[in-house]
Amino acid sequence: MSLESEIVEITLRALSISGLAALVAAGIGLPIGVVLGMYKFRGRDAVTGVFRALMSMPTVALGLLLYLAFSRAGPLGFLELLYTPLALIIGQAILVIPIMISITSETIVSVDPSIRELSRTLGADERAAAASVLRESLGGVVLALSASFSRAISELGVALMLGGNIQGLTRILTTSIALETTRGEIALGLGLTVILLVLMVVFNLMLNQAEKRVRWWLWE
Amino acid sequence: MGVIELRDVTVDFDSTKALDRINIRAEPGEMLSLIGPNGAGKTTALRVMAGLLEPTKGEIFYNNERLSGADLIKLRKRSTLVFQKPAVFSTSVFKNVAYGLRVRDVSESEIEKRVKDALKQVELYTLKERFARNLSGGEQRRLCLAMGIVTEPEILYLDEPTAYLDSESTQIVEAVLKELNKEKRTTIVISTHNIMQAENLTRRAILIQNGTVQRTGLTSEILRDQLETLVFDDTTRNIFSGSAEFTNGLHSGMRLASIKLNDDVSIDAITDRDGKVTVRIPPEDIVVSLGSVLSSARNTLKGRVSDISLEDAMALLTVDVGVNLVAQITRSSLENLRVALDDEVDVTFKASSVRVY
Amino acid sequence: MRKETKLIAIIVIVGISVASIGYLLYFNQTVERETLVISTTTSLYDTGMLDSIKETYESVNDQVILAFISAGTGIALENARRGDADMILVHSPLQELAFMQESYGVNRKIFAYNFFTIVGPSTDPAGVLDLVPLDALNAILSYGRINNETIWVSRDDASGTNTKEKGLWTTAGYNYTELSDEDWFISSGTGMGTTLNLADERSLYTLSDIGTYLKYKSEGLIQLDQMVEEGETLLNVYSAIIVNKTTVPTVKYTAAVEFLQWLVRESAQQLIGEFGKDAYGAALFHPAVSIIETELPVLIYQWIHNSAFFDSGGTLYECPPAWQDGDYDLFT
Repeated sequence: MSLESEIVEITLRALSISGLAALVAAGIGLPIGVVLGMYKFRGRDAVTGVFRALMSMPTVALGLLLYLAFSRAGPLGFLELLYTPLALIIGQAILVIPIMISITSETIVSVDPSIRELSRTLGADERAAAASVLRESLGGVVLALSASFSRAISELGVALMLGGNIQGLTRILTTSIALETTRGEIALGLGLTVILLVLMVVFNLMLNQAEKRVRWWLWE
Repeated sequence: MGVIELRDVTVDFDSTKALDRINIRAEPGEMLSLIGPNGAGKTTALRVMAGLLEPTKGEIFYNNERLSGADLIKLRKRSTLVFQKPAVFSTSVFKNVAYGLRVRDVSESEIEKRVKDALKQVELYTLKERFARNLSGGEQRRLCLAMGIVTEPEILYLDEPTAYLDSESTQIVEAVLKELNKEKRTTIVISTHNIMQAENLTRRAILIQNGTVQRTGLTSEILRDQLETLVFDDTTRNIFSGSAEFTNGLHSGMRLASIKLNDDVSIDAITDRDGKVTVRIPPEDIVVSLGSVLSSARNTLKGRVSDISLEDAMALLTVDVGVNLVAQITRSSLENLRVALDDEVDVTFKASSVRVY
Repeated sequence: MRKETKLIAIIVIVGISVASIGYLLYFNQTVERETLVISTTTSLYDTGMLDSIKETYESVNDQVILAFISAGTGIALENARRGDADMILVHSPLQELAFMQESYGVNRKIFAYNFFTIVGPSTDPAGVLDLVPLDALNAILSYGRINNETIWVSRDDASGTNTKEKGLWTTAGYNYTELSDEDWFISSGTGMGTTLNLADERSLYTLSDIGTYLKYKSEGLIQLDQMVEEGETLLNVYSAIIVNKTTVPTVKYTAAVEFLQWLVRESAQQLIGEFGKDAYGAALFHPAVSIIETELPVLIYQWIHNSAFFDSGGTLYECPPAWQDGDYDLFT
């Protein structure tokens, strides 16, 4: 395989693995974030505090824990997930779920209660008022998505320990950068770094545009 | 034209009592003010009346009909609260105003017409396509008012409608409220710690302190009896007690009195009262000049400038004329005056500017 | 509320499409093809030799994906013990022996060798050029102690290279742990490439595998020179061990055996011997299978025999009979 096509493949793989991880994290984290943001209950502060602390989980530490869990000798070994793309997706999703939850709930808490009160006094029922709160939280949800995807695609620890940097299977941008650097291929590592940075910038710009569209559309 | 009544309403927040067995009744088509210091419970009372907060104890009557917790949505459909801190949706000005109509399933053509009317009333129609969050603070407050009136509520509640508002927006808001009350006979309840606003807008007032109703009555009477205790913030200036004495003079056909503020200072005012009075001289009615100017105003006093403070486009000059008088002038006239601390100046104001309680 | 439904529908559609694209791109190949996980050492992997082995093997056997996990020898063995690897390619006979004694491995085949080398700055402050390895180490140590300046960097990462280094110091009569506290001796704690860079930057001597050294040198990343000649003491033997299916039942044993059979075949051995000649001007690895079969050339065979064979009942074996499993024509 030529170098160019391999770089393209690695880039696409990084995008789809981290994209899927962010989507999975959104699927799990958004509802939890919404619940944490919308409903007051005993121990909510403790729960949000834990998730906020987990936001800064070192990737190698999470990688090690998940490696021990997914390893054949570990409790989830029967799933045969270690060193597969799926393990990477799961690992990165777990890594970014706290980000998803924290930013979402934080946004909703800061939007609520003024927007909820505004909607209610203008005649909205509880459900429509909740919908307004969510609609106003869109910016935070987009931020959460962007932060999640960016952290997923730029992390190394989980990818190395769960994916193993297997060529053609679990090799992604960050693991390639690490590998090429130890191999002394500094120029190649630098090129991959540029690709990673460009991707993150482009993705976030696109997301900002998408946010505007969605916001406009939500108010149609 | 709605009638709202709170009977023995108590609201507890955690362990503190925000409201303690209060009774409030707003009559149909009246303008009522809740006055009291910050934290007295005015906002909480408004939220209960507007159906946003279920009281811990007590009863709510709307148009003489008792409401239970589940009926609060009905209350909200027919009355609206305009918050002190402007809350707007992240969309255009137009869509913000349309929100209250959309949740009521009003037809699009009707929405178009009514939003337009409401925006014109608060003088925001030219900004209708702007992103609401990009409006200035004063514009956002007016937008909130438009959002409230577009649904044509039977009762409109306003929490501190003009606190920290620039004078242009204040005038617009007060004009809209008066017009609404006059034309549509909308019942309007405002909370304010600005007693001048209460005096200016509402005939009746309810004084709330520490979560309880201290007094209910005519605004002017409450002010007369308790003015000095009702000054809740430093935006209310130039309030003095003194004794009035009839001078046998007439001013534009009205009775002129001399009011002695202390041994050195007396001012002329139009009043038919004698004896102990409280007066207020609005800072914006006082003219400051270097040396005397030719004026028909009855009161001209000499003094030294003891303080100059700047607020937005305005400047406040404190002049010691025997009492400390605060004059509000524009910044450009301050620059033209070239006045500095300790300068000797003349202050001039009309007898008719002096409010006597 | 039609809008909410529409929004949810769009999210679901986007999710499903991303998921299916991802699936099509990467997952179905793992479903159709068997993944053989091989834990290996960085010195073997970082040269790129295993990439060309992977490419060639997958072109002749399209039912298998060779998944090389590159780590130090220590973690490679640990991976295998946990059942996460089907096979290991390592270069540390002592650790291999322990691994097999714990009955984690079978069918050990030595498939390649090369030499470690001691490299250092071309100014050669300690004057070790052309000395035999143990004398060179002694010279470096004395220079460091006398001048009280940093002169040696050790990887200290439990890798195969590091194990070799410890062995060399022991043979020279020193205790590695004690040495590592002395001022002239520093630890990098990282891989070979980083350690070479460090040695280059600070003009230090270090022990390196020849593959990584030649690669870095030929690409102009380091200026360090090779100080000592190849010899028995610096021999570096690479062997393949299949994980024991009795101890670790989940191992993909058949696929591992098939790959091992291919690896020791003439064509693969040739590939190993040729690798790097074009790019680095010298072969990075030498094929070992025919040397062990023919016991020729005698000198090299003796070196491998002495340093990398395991003792069983007084005889040295590449893989003692007790650990030979099945009849795959692997051993003569």
